[in-house]
Amino acid sequence: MNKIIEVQDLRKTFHLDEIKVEALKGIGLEVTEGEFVAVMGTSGSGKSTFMNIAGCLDREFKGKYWLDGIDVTQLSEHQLADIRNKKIGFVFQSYNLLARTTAYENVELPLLYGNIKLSTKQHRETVMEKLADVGLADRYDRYPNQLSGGQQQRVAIARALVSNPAIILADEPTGNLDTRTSYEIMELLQQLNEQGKTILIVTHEQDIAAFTSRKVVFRDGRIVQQQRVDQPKNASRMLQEQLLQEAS
Amino acid sequence: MKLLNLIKIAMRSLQKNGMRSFLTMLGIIIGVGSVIALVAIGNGSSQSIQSNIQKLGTNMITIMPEASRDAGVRQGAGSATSLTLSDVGAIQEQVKWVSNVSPVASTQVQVISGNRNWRTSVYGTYPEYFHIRNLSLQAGRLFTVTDGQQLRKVCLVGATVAKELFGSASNVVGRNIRLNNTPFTIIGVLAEKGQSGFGQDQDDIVLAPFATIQSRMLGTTHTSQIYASATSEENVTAAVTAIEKLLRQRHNIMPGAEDDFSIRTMSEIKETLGSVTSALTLLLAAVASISLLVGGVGIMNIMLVSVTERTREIGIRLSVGAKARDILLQFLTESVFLSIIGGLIGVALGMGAAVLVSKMLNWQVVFSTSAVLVSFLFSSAIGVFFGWYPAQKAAKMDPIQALKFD
Repeated sequence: MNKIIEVQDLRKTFHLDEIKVEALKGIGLEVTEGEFVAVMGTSGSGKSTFMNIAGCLDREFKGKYWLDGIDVTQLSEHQLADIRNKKIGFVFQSYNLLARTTAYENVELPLLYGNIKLSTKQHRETVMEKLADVGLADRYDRYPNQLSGGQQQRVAIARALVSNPAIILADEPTGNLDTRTSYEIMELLQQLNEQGKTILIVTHEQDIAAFTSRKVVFRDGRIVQQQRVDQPKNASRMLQEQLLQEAS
Repeated sequence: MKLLNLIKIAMRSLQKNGMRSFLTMLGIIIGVGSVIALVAIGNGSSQSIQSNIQKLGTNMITIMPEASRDAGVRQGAGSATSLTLSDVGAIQEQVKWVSNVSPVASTQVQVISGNRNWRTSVYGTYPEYFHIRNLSLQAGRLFTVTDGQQLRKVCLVGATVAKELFGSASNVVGRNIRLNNTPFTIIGVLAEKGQSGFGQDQDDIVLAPFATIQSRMLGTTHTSQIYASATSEENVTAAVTAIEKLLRQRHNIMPGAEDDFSIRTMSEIKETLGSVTSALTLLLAAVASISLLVGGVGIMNIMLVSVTERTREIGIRLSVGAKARDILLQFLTESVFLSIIGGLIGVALGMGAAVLVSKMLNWQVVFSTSAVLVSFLFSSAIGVFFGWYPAQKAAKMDPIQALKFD
């Protein structure tokens, strides 16, 4: 299987005035194609710093990093932007949709920045297909403030999928959602994973991590535990149970 | 990124902030509009002055005697009696750049018809005077050389004089009037010329043969002025030089001594007025340009606020793969769009305002393509210039910090 993410001895130091803070103290991690990995840890454990580096948003680090076989350390800022556009789909805790911009326009954003040759019809079909994948084809013309939190996160997932990236990086995707909606989002991510998408999510909730196939635990800038989840929980089933519970 | 996508993105974000976009544009609209309107008004007044001069005849040359001296005390310009009819003849015969010459003897008279009277100026001239001054007739005939030779008491009246004496300018040919106490017969009415560029009523005159006025009204032998016309506007300078040389010779003026006459041409006046009006137009344009500049500062101000306010948006765009250059171009496109659209509206409004002014105040306005083009290009340049700094600020943002921004 292809290695989508491969990092070796990743180090990152923040300089706050006189104080040096070592956020990452030599991280080694591999994520292979089709995996669903949860990065866990308390705040300050270095997991967010790691995600920024993995997402090619931060290039100020020491160590080795290959993304889908590409040595990221060798790339210019310009090329990194292209990597973010084509290889990575971001999902954020606070959705990060453009305000006063329809779901359709939000989803098509990566296509506008990529130099992908698409006919107007193909372009439209691609966007609508991704919206259909997250179950929001009928709400393509809604603005974020007309959508619920769960729906907004779905739009964000559709946006992450639209340029068919090698990996989806989700930073606490359920952090702002209630239990039921969290299960819905995890159900969607599990479905995408079953279709072959590689997904890396950051969470500090054990029950969310339980839906993934591997847990990686960060503490104080180091990976302290890596654990394969033998029997990942099924989000669809959990959702059904949750609904029954709410009904009674 | 494709240009079309760039324009799409920029247009969308301008639309989303419709009111703010409009207010930002307002500065440019007012700036461009005032440049267009003021230049049009400036050019219009300059052109109306030019055409007034044209009406007077641009190849006209006026020769006046210099001030007379009485024991070293100099009198006013034109007080000397040095110009004579033989000077007129000499100019006619010897200066080849001159097509027509006429002496002018003028005086103020009271014209009387029945129980009505009117004070006006009477000019005694040769028939050539009509060609020199571009005069034409509304009715009747001109006086002839014979009329002058026989000292006939015939005259032509301007429309104002006709109206004052008879109530209208029609049916006055053949009627008798008195100039002071001398009876004259009206043989023609001059076509209306209206006010001159200097506010003088050009129809308030009476014309009569030179000899008649000289002998019957003034009792003099000299001529108070000589009017001449050059064969063309280009030949005015040559004609003036030749006339000067001829008159100095005829008046026995020693080399180095001052002329006892002075020569004025319309082209001198035209040039002076032209430089005055173009300076005025330039001044108006400069004032208007300052407001355009202020409009540009307005764009920069709003764009800076907008960049800060949209920090998170910039973070999102960077995270989905926008390059720093894309962000720069997006904000630059927005400010250029604002200034171009503002410029277009400004051009339209400026023209509208100028037309309104011309309708309401009856001023002539002339639209200059160059003013439209320059102010439009200038406003686009302002968009780039004042949009650059905010756009640069946006493009330099760190995506991680931008995404954290609330």
